[in-house]
Amino acid sequence: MHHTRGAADAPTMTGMPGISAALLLIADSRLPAGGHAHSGGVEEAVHVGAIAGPEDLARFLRGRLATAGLVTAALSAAACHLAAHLTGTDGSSGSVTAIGGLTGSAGGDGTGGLTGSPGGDRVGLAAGGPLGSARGEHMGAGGLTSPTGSADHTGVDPLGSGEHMGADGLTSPTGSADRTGVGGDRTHTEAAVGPGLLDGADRPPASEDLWRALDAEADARTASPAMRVASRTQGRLLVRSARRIWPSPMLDGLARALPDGAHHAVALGAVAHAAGCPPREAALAAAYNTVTGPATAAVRLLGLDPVTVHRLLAVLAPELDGTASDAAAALDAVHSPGTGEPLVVPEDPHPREDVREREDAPADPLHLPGRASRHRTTDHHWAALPSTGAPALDLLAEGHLRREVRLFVS
Amino acid sequence: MGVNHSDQHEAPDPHGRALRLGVGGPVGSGKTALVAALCRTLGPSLRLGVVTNDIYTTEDADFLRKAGVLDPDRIIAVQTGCCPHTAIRDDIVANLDAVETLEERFGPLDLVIVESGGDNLTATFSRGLADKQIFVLDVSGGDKVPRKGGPGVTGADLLVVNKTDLAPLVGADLTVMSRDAKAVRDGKPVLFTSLREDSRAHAVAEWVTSVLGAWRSEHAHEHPAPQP
Repeated sequence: MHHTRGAADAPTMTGMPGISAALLLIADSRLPAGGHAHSGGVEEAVHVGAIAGPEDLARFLRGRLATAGLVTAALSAAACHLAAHLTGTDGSSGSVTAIGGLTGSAGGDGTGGLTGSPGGDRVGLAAGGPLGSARGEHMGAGGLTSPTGSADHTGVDPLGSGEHMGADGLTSPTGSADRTGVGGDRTHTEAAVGPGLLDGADRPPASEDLWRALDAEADARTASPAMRVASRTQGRLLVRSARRIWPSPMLDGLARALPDGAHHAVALGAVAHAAGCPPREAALAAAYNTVTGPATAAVRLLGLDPVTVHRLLAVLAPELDGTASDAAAALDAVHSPGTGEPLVVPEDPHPREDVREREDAPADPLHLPGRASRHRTTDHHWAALPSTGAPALDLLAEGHLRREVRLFVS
Repeated sequence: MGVNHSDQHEAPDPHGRALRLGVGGPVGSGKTALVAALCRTLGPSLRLGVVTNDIYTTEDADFLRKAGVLDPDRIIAVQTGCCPHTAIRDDIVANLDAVETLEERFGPLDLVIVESGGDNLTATFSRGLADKQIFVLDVSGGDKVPRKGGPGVTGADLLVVNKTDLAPLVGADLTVMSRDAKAVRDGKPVLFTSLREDSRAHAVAEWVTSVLGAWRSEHAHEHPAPQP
């Protein structure tokens, strides 16, 4: 359709560092997607005194980029890649290892996690040892500037421990996928990945399971319930606008898979693909968003000189490029042979017309009849994407939600 | 419920959705009081929803909820990140999302009122968000305000000049305001109110009712509107 760029003219699957008008469009703060109302923790940081001037802001932005920036960049790249795969525009040879995937995570234990309102139980969050230490640091933004060991489980399958941040239930992908208001979808998800149900005729398309599985990875990397809600809200609004700006059955499928909203990083990656960007550009847009939104919020809240603040962003430019490259490299590594068992997803009984955008789309590499019985034992490749946590940002988001007076959504 | 569900509920009119009425105007002019008055007067006959865009958190929404003019669940507050005009003009998706959430939860509705956060004279609602809009001034802002114009004053479907009871106290000449408003508005209606004296805003409610009727028949021959 309109996907004229991407892997076809790039030497790697994640694309060359490129310059495209599409990237400018998706990164533009004027894209009507609700982002202007989010401060990314700056409003609360200002309130508690962690940001009072340009120097504080510079540290905050650098820390945010190194943590949330890398995580969201990698997730956006993965989502962009998944979108390309689902639409048959990634030029893949059909290797099943080329896609991260579907495990029981999204349909697993439904007891933990975020089931209530944003103001729900956060006892676990406050009590966690690693978070406790971060809380002690975040006033000086020190905790923001390094991906703390406690939250950093890069390269470790977060599904393995289920308690990798000491915040039981809040961070496990199993619990995180369980949200009030999507009960019906949860049921579908469980049906899709549960044993003995592969013959069921009413399963949703596998593409929707894949979106939910990737979204669960974003959930797993977002400890704060308040931040999860904010992220999903942004994702929902972005997809909402993008479906009109870049109409695409792929985006329709994403909206169906996650009607309450995909996490913003996932949504951004999908939208980037719909706009015509390769994964690295999706990563760059995500990294850019990570710092520009908070920077603008600081200008509004503190009356900082906007030229000074833009200079801070300019200084960060090489790091933005580096973050995007790191994210793309992480995605490449995840998809390299030998990083795990080949992924197998259940056979889809329904033709996926909804994700076919071209008549000549290549054969669906996910469609592997006869091997479906292995689907629950395969490795979860996306779990190895970066997961550099920033507990201070989580705490800022939680604190923000409790303020009586808020100018920003988050 | 997410907002990406396809809209399956029974359509109240040929548009397939409620009329979206924007209420904008400067801080303190009486927007929230007007919305409350409209809820009082129209609530018994119309299925209503309200979206507020507070500058600070949920103050307006709380005011409306406490006023008891509408089921509190039918009032949704949207935060605007220090930029109320952005949320109604440039980046309207959070408001659209709120409007559709109300329609999904309580639909079909007849009228959804979107109240802007208090802003300046240049604020105006996007046509992508509001089908019709009211701009609310008050006399204490000075009787020169209508002459100054601005998109809200000149372009709104209805201009309401509120707090007429204060005119003698602030030295505002209502005749001047009326004359100037008519001059810059190209014949579009202007109503003078004192919500303190008429807490049901009868004249404005009447205008809303007539606009709703006209809007419904206006597109009666067109196919139902899709999701915006």
